[in-house]
Amino acid sequence: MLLKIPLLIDRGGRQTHRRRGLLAGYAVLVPWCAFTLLIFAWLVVASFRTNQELYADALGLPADLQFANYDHAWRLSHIGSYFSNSLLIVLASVIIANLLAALAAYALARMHFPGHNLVLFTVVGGMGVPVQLLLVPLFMFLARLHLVGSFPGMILSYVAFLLPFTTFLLIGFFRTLPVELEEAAQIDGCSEIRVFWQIMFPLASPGLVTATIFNFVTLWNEYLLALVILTKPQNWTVSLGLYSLSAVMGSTANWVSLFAGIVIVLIPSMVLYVFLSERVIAGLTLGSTR
Amino acid sequence: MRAHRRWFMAILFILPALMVYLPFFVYPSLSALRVSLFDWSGFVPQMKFVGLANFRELAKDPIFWISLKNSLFFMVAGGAIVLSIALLFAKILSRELLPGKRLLRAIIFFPLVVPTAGLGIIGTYFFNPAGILNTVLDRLGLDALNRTWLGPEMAVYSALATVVWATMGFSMVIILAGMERIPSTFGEAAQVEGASEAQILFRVTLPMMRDVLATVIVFWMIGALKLFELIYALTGGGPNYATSTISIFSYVMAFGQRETIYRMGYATAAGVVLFLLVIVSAGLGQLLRGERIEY
Repeated sequence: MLLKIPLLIDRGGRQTHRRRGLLAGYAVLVPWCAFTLLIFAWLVVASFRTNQELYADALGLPADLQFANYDHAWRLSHIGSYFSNSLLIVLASVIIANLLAALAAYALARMHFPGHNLVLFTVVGGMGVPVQLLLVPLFMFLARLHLVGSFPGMILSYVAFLLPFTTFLLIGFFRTLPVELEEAAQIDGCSEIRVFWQIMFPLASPGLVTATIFNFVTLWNEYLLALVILTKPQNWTVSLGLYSLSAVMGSTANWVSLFAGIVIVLIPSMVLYVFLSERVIAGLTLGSTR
Repeated sequence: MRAHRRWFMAILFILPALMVYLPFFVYPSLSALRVSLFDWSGFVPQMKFVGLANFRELAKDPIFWISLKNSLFFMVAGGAIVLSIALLFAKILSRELLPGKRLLRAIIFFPLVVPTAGLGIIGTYFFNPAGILNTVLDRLGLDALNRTWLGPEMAVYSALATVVWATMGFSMVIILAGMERIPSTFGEAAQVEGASEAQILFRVTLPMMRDVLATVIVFWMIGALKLFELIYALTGGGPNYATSTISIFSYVMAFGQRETIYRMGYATAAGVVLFLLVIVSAGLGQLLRGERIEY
């Protein structure tokens, strides 16, 4: 950065030209960003108002802060229990998927065995299959196993849904690790399982972090599969809960506590994002540019 | 003997993943192809084989055509808009000395980490007759522009605007990463030769990141075809299927919306059409991509 500054001064007349370009750039980006920020700021403000205030004027400020909206969203709209359901389902699914995908990716990246290419094609090819295609047969299959509506049914479906991309991503990471490491360990008499657990798995941790972020955000926001599989309201996730709350809005018209519910649901994403936005952005877009 | 042991180990490593993946992903995917040839309510074991009748019925179903048309509209019109904005924004953000660059990028990307159902609800109120948009127009004295934004005429455009706003950051970030991969010497050389910014962008930068652009286009096409959650939370596919997509159509035919429908075979046939469109899009992407350029 420092090296560039003398260059700029050398060019003399170019400097004002550059500054004008910079201003034009901000003129394009700032309105978009301001819009996005205002929408979410508005959401937070509206979540502290009463429905009467909202109907009188969509844009006003609250006369008194209505914390009751949050209480209502958390308890009466069950956001609290959806929250713990989501946490349980999403964490279990992400951990299991990452573990299974890491094992499979290691074998696919490093071992030769008959049927290698068939397994690779089957697993990675799943990335091209839209979940809408298998919705009905999956539902019927789960029904036969009496898993519809249950946590295990949801978690197993989510794990299967995450496996193609996670395996694909981790194969890429295992391929970048030097072969000499394993060879040295094997000469020292380590079993494959120990080589994997104590050497390769920890070395693949950047890949696992990326996969965790990607999978967590994907599942936290997912509701199509949840809509079909989680038939019992007490097992709903936050995304599904929010959707269902909005679907019954017609009869209750309680916008403000719905907004409070969104704010509650947003908090974990926000916290994650404020501290890790670089990693989250990289995690969500990685694999697409390689 | 040693080779056999390796083999056995490999299977041991792969088996756990396959034990979940085969029954819960591969089996339903393959069985979808079969189910699409049957007339089936899903709740009785008897399935009536109807051959391609489901597909013939789709071809005659006006609601399916609306849904297909909407999906293609989101794909083509949305793609053109998203790609233009993403290119422009990425170009600006790729300047080396842009104070606040990371913050701007993070804000633009932010809607992608917000639960889609929440975005849908915010959108519903934004476009509500007494909602944000109309109120802002009133304040600005532009109340002549007030519309029923989620009514039959405007809903599909409002949905498109929401999708563009919510997902543009994804394409932008990938394009930005592609631009930053190109050594700046190429642009500088062109600048010395007297090329304008636009000429550098279209003659130097874009041709050099052809593979990245192909990726962005394929991701957009597939994402647009699969579009379900955001629109379903915003409009439920309505009013009267005005904003339905293939995904929404398939879901509604299987599981119903206000009243139950349970036409599992018919819904799955729509899923098969979606799958074929995804394959075509991915194939098109391979054609666009060409060879990866190394520099």
